Amino acid sequence: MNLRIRTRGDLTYNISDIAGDKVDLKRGETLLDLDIVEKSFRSGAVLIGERRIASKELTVSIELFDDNDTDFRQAFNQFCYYASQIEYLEDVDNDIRTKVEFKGFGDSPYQSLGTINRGGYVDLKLHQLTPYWEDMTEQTDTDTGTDLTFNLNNSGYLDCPATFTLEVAALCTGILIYISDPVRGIEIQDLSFGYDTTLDEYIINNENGTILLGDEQYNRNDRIRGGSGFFDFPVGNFTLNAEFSVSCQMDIAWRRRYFI
Amino acid sequence: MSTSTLGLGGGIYLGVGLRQSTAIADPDITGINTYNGIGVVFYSPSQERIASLTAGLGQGEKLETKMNFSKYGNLKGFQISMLRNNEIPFFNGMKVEFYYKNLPFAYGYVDSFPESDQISSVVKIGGKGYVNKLRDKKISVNYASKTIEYILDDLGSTYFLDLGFNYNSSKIQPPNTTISSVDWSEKDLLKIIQDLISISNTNFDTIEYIYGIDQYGDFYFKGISEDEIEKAYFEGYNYQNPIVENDASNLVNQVQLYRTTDADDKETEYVDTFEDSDSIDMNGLYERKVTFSDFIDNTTAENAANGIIADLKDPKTRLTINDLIIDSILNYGFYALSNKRQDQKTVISDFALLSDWSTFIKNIAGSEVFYAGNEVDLSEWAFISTNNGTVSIGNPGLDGTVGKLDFNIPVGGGGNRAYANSGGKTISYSNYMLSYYIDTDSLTIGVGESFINMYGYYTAAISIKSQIRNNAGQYQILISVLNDAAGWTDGTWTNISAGEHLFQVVYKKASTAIANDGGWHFYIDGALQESVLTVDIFTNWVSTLTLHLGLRDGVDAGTLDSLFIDEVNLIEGDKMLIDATHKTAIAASAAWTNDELIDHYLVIGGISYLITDNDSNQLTLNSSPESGIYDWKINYDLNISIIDENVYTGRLCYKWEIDDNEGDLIEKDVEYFSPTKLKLFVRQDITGEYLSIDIDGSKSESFNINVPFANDWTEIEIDLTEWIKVTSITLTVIDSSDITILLDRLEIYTETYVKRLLSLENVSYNIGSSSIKCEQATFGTEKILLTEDLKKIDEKNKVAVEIFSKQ
Repeated sequence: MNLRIRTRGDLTYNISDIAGDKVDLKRGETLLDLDIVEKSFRSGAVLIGERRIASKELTVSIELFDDNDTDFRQAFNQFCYYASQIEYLEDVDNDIRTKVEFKGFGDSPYQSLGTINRGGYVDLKLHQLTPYWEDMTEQTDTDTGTDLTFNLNNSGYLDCPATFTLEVAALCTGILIYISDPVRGIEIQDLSFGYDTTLDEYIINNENGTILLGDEQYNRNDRIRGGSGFFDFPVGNFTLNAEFSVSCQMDIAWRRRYFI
Repeated sequence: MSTSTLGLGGGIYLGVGLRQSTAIADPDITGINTYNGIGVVFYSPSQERIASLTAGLGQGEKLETKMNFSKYGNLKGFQISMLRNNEIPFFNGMKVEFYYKNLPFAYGYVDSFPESDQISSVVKIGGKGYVNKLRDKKISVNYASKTIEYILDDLGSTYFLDLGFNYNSSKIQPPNTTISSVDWSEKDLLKIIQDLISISNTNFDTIEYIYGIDQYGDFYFKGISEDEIEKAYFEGYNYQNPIVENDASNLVNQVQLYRTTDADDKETEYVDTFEDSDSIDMNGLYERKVTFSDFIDNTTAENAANGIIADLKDPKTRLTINDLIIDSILNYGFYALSNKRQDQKTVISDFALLSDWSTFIKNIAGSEVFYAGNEVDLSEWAFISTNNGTVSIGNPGLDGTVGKLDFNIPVGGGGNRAYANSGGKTISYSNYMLSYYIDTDSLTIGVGESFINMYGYYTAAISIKSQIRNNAGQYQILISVLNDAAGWTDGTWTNISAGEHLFQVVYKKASTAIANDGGWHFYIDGALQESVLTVDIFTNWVSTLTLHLGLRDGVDAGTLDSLFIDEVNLIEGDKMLIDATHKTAIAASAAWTNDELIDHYLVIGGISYLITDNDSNQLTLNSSPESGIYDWKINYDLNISIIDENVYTGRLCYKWEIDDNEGDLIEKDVEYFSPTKLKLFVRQDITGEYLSIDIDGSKSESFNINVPFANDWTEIEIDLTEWIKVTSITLTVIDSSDITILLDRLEIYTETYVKRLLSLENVSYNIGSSSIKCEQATFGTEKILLTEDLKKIDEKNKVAVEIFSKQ
């Protein structure tokens, strides 16, 4: 198993560099949380339709060997250093990742092996903030026009949010992006979008629930028309429609989500 | 008093992670670095700056503030936690300015701090917002015939500076309400200002008034508007699991109005009872007795009573959110909060009010608008006949009014003609319409024979024509246009049935000299028969048109007797909308006023209407950008009344009595996202399909309403899952029979976010070194009521307020 730590500072650290193939991942127990009273975002659970998947603990177990005390301690400390700054745990083999927080590590007895080798087992405890795994590489699509149709396929296994990046060359006051089946969509009326070149970009982030306008990234959530709002892509094939009052370049980016 | 402590000021010692920014003498905060976290500046009561602290980065640093705000945006209380290892001298009454992202947002004073002999490494300093200082000053004062602004200016300039904040007249913007008499005795300033805010917060429009001490230490008193939504938040994204409550504890839907008598202010007399029956139906009876002073007249008292009901008849919604994700500090104002997507049912109309439907319209049809020009005056026409032909005026007219043109040839053939010559008419637009009623029933055309019934001359050359023939017993008409290549472009022969018909041909010029997009639309009785828009007609387009109409030419031996023509109109205009790309043209038409349209013809789907200056037949224009269709609509009194017939129990509904009213309709503009189905309750005295319902929005579709049982309510259900949005609903009479239709309860089911516009009532924060956390926010629809508080003021303070003098 080839696991990698990606830190908040976007540094990477291959766990197998120190542990070789002696890496094991315990994925914990996955439970669907049907009690929506839980304040799920605190513990990292995510809204998926009416149900949430409860967040859980991951355990990365490694076996670490080195030639002497000093090297062992150095390798172990280095591992903990990166682990303490972890943002994503990446499964390099499958090109997926999950967002985690460092919780700690278990007892790490190390023992003498012969006269020079030192070795130990350690359990790295991580709290999985998003209880799913997602693509490391974004899926993307793009088109330009006033009336766009995207035939998309969410080949993951969970509904997933997308980011729509819109760019126009003229004032675009009307935006309607929707999926007909199942019916869901967002409609925006913003008299500022495309007013000038500093306001020609719109980023609709369905994951964070934000709409940001222009270079200054003004929050425009209040321009969303009543009844509409952020939405997730359903699993499988679907058609995404987008209507704009003037020609608009629309970039779509999403990461498929998986249970494991 | 505190100058001694300032000796320490110059040598502030800041602990690890706490940063001193600028020299103390510097009055502003510009030196504070831009961090996301909190900044705090301490001042002595005499305005010298003692310390500036910002939350630093890195471990071991601590500067954290908990604070909460009232619904007016006032800082109520705060608690600052910081490391002890700094040497800031603390004392009561220290002023504190709070900064977030380098911008000031609140202003308060310290009222509790730990003794210096404590050993905890973290110091916690408590304080309050400056509004609380208003409580400390008690005064007795009275005013007569003074505006709120005057009173605030008077109080502010006298007392505020002593309390530690500024009186800034530019920030005092109360409503223009005059208080005729007020007497406050031994009241604190806070109470007085709360009385004034209560008077200001009437509910006549969306403005509400707030007061407080702003981040600059200035007192303010100003209005905020529901239109100014501060932010919008979505459940599932920006917050989770709100607590939503409906609070009926303050509900009032019936007011018993009393008034003290002139003779004795201890005695009261009954004036009247006011109520809101809908609210009583929904919530039960909540009655309140209100007593006014004897000098309040009936109208004022009635207005006040209705005001109480208007404000309090509905239960209040209160929504509490823990851990709201925010990116800036919310103080006060209105916020759009959308609960997560859910199924909900909304009653679009319960058909209890005639005004519930925005337009009552007669005979709306079609998708194209041809803008009106002048009617051709028939009196200008010359009547020409040769040989035996005659032109005379017959009765009754084909359009239902008096008079029609009777073109008669008693003996066919022989070069007989009978026609009318319009004389030259200037055409200045790139399209025009020829419209006339025609009746061929009295005309005999030999089988296989044809004749020219219309020539249009451009100077001397014929540029348009139409012909009528008898094709094996079927009368037919052919439209032709002379193209730029000087050849005739013909349409197809179109059948004419027996009886009178309205012929209308809209001729259209090509867009450019080389474009082949000119041609015509041909309508019979408003129904489009033929559209030919592939003609190169630009150079030969007429600028002066002379029309010849009747039995014009080529009348053969078998063609004789009378051809009737009536109501000939030549209409020109530039507002014809062929397709969506002409959308902008409609904007230009907004420049036309109703006055300019009077006595002009309006053409809707090929039917022309004379626009008259009649108040009951007002003209409205509706645009439906979704489809690119623009309809002119004429308000019209339909045969609809409200009766007490019901679906369930005693509800009002529409009674629509129709008899030859095909095309009458009612329409309502709506906005529903993600609809799933529509429900309508209908009752007819005959079974069958007499109404259609048109749903417009992301798509347009018409459904006939089939009622299977007579005199019983039928629930019609229409599946709307193919729509993303519904923007308009129209009910149209589709039959000319004599029938009575009852309508009740039009409901739509949607699966959408539930959006509420709520005002912030109170909010608490925890702002740390790099984070802002909204711990709890409560939003509500609760309003501060003039009427309610007026009553209290009136009873306790003998205030008389000219309630409705707000301007």
